[in-house]
Amino acid sequence: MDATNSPATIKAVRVGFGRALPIMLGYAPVAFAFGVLATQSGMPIWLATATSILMFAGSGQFITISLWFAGAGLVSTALAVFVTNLRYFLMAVALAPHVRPLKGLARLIFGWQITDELFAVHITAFQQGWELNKTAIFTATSCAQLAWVGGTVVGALCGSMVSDVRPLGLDYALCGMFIALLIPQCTDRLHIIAAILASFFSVTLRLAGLGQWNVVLGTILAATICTLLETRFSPMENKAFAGTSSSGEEQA
Amino acid sequence: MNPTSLGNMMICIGVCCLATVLPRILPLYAFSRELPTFVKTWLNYIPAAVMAALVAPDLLFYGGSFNPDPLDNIFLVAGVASMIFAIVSKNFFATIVFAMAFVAGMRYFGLYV
Repeated sequence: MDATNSPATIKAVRVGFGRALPIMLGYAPVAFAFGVLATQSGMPIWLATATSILMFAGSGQFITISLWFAGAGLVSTALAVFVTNLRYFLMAVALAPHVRPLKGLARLIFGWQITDELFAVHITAFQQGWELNKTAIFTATSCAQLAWVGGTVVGALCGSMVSDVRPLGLDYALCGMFIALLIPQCTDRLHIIAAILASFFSVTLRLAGLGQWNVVLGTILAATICTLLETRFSPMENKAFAGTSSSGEEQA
Repeated sequence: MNPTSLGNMMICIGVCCLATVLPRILPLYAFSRELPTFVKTWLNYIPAAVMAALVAPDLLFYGGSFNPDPLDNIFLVAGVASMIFAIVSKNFFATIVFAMAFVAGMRYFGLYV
């Protein structure tokens, strides 16, 4: 790589860092909370760090430790994580046409590092016609992940010193994150109905004693009902614009 | 499966990493074609549904048992406050910080346990 110090490379690094900076400021405290909770649950510091390096997923990591250490078992923990992460599937589908220039390992790492926030900055740039620049992309993702892993390490180191997480409100980090992710998703009436149905099914199934499966079943039931509602009440639109989401009718 | 055994923990983290990474990378290779409309619509509802399905029991089962009393359940009160904050601020990280600070503050002033 002879172009490492060229002005173009430096500019690309600046672009990437500029995109990552607000994400880094947000990731560090959430990762700190994860590090504290993971070590408090009995996870060694190195494994908490490895989780942040390999998984790099906010809600996914919190769900893993909260379900696993509550004794939910491997299958229901992994299934809940998988269903939670199905949203990445949708994001990756949206990014796929833009990342064709990335080959081999570069595309694999790019996919591995799709998080809600990085997806948001990537897709916004692509939609504005930004031409993919490897240096800028991987500067942004590396800085964001550095903040995530760094926050985890500091949290994990503090986790063995903090005796009770409750006075800091750290036991509420997960709920706060879910709410922060949920509210922007409620973009129209059917999405709000999906959230209400999923809450209802999830709570009811847990009350019925299906506490290991309530999240997965509640999600699938609510998403299926709302998909049926949408395709039933706007069949014209779905035939005319196959492949586009039909949220326009509620906004009109 | 004993969750505190190191070997089991490593297996769990390994499997959950796969459950996270596969949905992220498979579409970049396998789904360059358009997905069926029904599947796309369904996937579109997954984020809202899964977040609600995750958070609702956390808010209503504070302390381990069903507890819908807002005077006795700090997670429920903080949940309502955080939702309002999220709608007004439209800021992801500020919402998380607000939620944790709200819970910490309520406990500090002894209003809730």
